[in-house]
Amino acid sequence: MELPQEFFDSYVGDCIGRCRAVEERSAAIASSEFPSANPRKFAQLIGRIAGTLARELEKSHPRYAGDPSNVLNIIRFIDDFVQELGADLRYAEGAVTAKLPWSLTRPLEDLIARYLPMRKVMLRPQWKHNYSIIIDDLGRLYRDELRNLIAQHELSRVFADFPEGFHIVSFPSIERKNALLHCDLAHEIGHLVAELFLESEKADYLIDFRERIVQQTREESRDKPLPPLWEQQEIIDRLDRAALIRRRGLEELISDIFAVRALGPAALLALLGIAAGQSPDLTPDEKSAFYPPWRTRLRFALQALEDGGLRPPKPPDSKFPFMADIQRELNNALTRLREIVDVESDRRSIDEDWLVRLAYESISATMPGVRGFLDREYGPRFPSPDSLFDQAYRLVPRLWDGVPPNELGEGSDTRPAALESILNAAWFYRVTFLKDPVAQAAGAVRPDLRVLNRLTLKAAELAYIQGRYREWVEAAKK
Amino acid sequence: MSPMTLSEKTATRTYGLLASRVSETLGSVLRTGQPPRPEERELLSNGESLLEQFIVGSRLVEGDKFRKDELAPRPDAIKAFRHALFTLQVLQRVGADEKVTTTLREIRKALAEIRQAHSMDQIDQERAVSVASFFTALASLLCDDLARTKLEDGAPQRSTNSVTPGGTTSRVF
Repeated sequence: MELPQEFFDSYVGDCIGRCRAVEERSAAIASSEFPSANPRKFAQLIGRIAGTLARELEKSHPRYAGDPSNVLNIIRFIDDFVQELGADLRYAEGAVTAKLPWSLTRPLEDLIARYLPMRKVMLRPQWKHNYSIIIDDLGRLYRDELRNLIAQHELSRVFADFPEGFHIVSFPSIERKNALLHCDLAHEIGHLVAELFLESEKADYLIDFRERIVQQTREESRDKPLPPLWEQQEIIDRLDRAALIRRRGLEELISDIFAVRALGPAALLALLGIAAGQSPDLTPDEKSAFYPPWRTRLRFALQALEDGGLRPPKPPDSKFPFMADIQRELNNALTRLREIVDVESDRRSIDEDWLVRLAYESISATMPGVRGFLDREYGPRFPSPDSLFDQAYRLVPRLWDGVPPNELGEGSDTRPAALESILNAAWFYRVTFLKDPVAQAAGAVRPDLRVLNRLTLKAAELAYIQGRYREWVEAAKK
Repeated sequence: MSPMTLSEKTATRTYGLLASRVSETLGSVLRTGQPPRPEERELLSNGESLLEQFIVGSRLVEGDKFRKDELAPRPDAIKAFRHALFTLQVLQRVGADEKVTTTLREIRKALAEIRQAHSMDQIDQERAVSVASFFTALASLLCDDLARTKLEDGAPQRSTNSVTPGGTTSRVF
């Protein structure tokens, strides 16, 4: 429906007003204090896009009389984009230093740079109790939308100094200081790795899916064949659904495997921290947003731990009297997890629906390729199990003494601990010494869960600073 | 209808803007009696690329064989094709026994001819109107999709009985 000219004029005026409001708000947010440069760049980009869209609206407005249907549609698409940009500002607004686990921000950026040097991540809290990531490169999404509106040189001006490969990772706001649970951030980073795998693979499975779907659809309607267009519609729906189930399954499983290879037992235990609160055998369909059953995910994650040689080895010799207890408790936890995943009730949930089964058969066939991809692309960058466990074991006594586990060695001969070792030491301490949930909250002589989390965050920060300082000293010597 | 993801919303707007601009450009060519200018040719070329995506999806669904040197189908092509099929249905441009791929290829061919034309004699005006109407209808359908999403977002919520999983604008645990 076209609008009378006066209503159209008024609508365009409102749209331009929204652009100006987004510009002003982005300028205000960009002047906040952030723990890294990314949120400011993001807010400034949104401001520049809003300004550009305001000018495009002004230019489009006079064309309405000549071609009302198309120009009205163009204005509505631009308006929707502006409204989206306004909403996206919340990401930058939430990324201020005070709302983040700021001790972890820079060490996390370093960790990401090791695996995905061309990606930038902006961390922000969300009120929903979940970790999440926007897999799409936000800069590319915005750029694609603008491409059909403005000239290339203008596009380059808008995106000047904005990094490529920009993603937003969200964590549950109320868990800001829960360093142990933040190991789940490795899973979110894993989504970017999963995306790279999915983009790189051949989509031959689609052709196979199509054959199987046509066969099944015709079998179902054998007595009363569907008219060709109806049949085509049915095939599209089923093909789309099967591809989505497969994609969602692989996304989660690859992310889990990556997290376990990158962080070791800490990732698996943090994953369990989320899984424990949810049903383990939900069918991956619309009602569960196509997530693979938790039992399936834990089975693959545990397998990745074992395949990666990440089962806890014998601890190093130490004066600390509980070293053997740490190894025993960790192995007990993994044995109990093995018992959970040996139950096959999740496989029955998958087999209930033939389309889900079809997708998961393809997932199973793809998993060797996934493992090969991870080994080939990231193998040398994953921490070596020997070093990871040696460091993590040696850091636990510091936690026992209420000291941040940020460094190894003694006296002047110290070196910063790796982030992965710090996080694992924290989990080792928790699994060994904080089994009683009441004690975890009580605060006894030894660090309880609350103190453990704070010591871990502080250790991540101190190790990062110490690492940077050593780099600076080394550079100064040259 | 499940909620649109962020990339789906972006794709909807991107396709929609492109379709509107292609149709507007074709209308301008017909009104002014001037063949497309260089910047307009680029836009029409983008329109052809969009049609190519639809055709890939259509061929996949129709069971066409893909040669090794061809653009292989991606899952996104299925979604893109769905938009094209709805548009053709709205315009009643595809019969019950007709192959959609054939119809889409005809539209792409007509658009390519207009893009390459250096004088109005080379443009079949009736076909140009037909191509423009396809893109206008496509843009309007995409606009409707966005409007529906907005209505869903704005619908009153009850504080209890919230059993539906959240929108998948991003990947969560």
